[in-house]
Amino acid sequence: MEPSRDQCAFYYTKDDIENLQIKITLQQLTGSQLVAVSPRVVEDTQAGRQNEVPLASLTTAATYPTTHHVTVKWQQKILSVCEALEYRRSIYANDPKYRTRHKQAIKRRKYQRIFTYVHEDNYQLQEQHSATTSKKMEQECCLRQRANRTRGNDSVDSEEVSEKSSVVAKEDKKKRPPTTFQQQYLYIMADLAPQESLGESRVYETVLCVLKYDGQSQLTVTPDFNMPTTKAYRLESFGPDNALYEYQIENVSLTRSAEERNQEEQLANQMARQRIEEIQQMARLDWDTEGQPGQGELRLMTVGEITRALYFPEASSLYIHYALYLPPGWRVNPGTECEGFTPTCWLSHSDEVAAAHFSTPFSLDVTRSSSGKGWPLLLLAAFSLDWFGHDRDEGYAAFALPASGPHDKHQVKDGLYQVGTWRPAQISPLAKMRRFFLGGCQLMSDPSYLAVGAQASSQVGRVSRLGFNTNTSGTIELRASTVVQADFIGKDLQTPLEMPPGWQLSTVAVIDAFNKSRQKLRAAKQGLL
Amino acid sequence: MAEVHVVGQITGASGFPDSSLLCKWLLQLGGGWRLVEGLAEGQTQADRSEVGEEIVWCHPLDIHLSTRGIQGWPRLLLQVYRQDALSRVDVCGYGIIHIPTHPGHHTLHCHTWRPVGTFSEEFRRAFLGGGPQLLSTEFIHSSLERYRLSTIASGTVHLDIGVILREFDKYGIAT
Repeated sequence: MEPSRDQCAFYYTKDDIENLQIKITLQQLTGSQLVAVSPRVVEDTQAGRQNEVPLASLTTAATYPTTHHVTVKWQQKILSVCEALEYRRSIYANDPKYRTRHKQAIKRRKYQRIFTYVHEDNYQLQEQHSATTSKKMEQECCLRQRANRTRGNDSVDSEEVSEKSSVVAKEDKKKRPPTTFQQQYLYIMADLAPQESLGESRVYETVLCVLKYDGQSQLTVTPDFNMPTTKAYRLESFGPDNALYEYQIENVSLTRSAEERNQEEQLANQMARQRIEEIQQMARLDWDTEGQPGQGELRLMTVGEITRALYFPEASSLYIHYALYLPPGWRVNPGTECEGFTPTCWLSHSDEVAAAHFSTPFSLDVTRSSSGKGWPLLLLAAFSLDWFGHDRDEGYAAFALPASGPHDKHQVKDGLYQVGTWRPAQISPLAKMRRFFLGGCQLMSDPSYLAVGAQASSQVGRVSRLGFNTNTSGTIELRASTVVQADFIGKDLQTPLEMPPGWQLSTVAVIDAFNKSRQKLRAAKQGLL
Repeated sequence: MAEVHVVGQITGASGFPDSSLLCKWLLQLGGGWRLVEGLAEGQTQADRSEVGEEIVWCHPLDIHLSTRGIQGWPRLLLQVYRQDALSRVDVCGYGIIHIPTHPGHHTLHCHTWRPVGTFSEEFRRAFLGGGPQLLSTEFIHSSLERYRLSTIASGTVHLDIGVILREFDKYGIAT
């Protein structure tokens, strides 16, 4: 069986498309060959065939060739018989656009059946139109023209324009950026008309092969090139002579010589080696000793984000103020911002819980001297903002910067920590109403609360060590991961890092620290608003 | 000099309004860091989920970094855009997430937000699209300018990231 003519093959090539060459061999099958190739014909007698071969060759060789060999380059135009008749007219001789075609038309051999349609001929558009169901009578509306133009098939318009005023068209073409990624077509055709009526009409034009190149090294060939093992494609002309044709498509592209290929490979190898050296040099740069901890010191860097706030039922919008608390003996390395704010975020109710999303990054880089005690804390305070722009305190919390690695038992998963918050409780109904209607941070504005320290609680015998009650509030979720640098790492890493934050930072100190930075904030806000 | 490999993918997103979404990402590095190989920024395709709420991008990340110090740990700046039926593109989420310092595989969720405008602006946005966006991504990571921003919670971007560290222990660094 001969292979089917509609199978499509894809090729990827890094080579220049200009190097592509295709050899087409078209052969009309005459009587004797039909016997040899066609399974439909009943086996003839030996004698009959012997007689026929010289007869066929005699008759055909005298009139016209039955076999055509053409080698086509990418976008090489070969005129068809009809086109040759058209372009042979003398009016094309002086037209700069068609001069080459005119010359070609004069030189053209008459009995050449194979010809091509290059991309500019827009044969692909005709093919597409015949495949669509839209009415052919439909006029070109502006939308359609625009669509065609964006598809890159604008040469139809420019041709029309160029006939009117070639100067304008040329300028337009210069301005237009080169469309490099545009699909380019090359149709290799054959005119299968009977010998005597060759060039009379276009009805017998048949597509032998369609080549598409997308400008990005993908070449589509329909049907595929013939391999030495495959049989030729077969065509019927369906004309009055009902001739049968066979054709073969061969890829005869210019290939590089072995020497050239060798050189190219060497160059590629050399470049790869240089790249590796570059990478190694980059990776071999000296370590920056700035901020390097000294003898017995420990450097702690925590990076992370305040991701979101959950379970704040009373708030409609939240922002979080964070500040770093350092115990004595710790110092901040340059480049660290010790406090900051998240944006003010309205709660979204799309999830199952109302949440405010912050994704606010922090990066804390601190060093503990050898005499340092305790562990740094990130102080968190959530504030809500009502419709009138009043702040209200929603929750306070202290978060000890994580010391150990990913197996910290406090974290939820993958460096995620959830910190519960509390806020001072209002006992009297009046204070509750005031909070509800007027908002404000009552605790912050009244420093008398702070006067009662943590030490006092045990002496006075109060239940609460603050002297006031607190309410549980929402949860702040943050992600943190740490990097620890010390000269004793690797020897007894566990001892300094496992030191639990066994001390309790006085809550008053938390509030006090916030009080200070809120005053700064207020000053900043007044200056801005 | 120590090296960090970040290999993984931006798997997808959830919780965003129903339209096709795309994510632009940018890797931010501190002063001592160098990009050795890989891309430091990119953009996913615009994906629209037909089945559920979950958007799938599966956008690969493969970055090789080298560093002279631990300051300025790399972080990913994510911007989620939505593309509507008329191919207009609006921002609908900003977020930032640090690359984990611990080696191994991590599943990360970045909860994003978007700036919220006045009532009339939001009304317009609901019907016509558009809406306010940040003039500069500077606002996302400068800590003192941020509190002036008014935002609303948006969806979540999911990432799968594997981290490989090299030669950090040579400089007395544990993570």
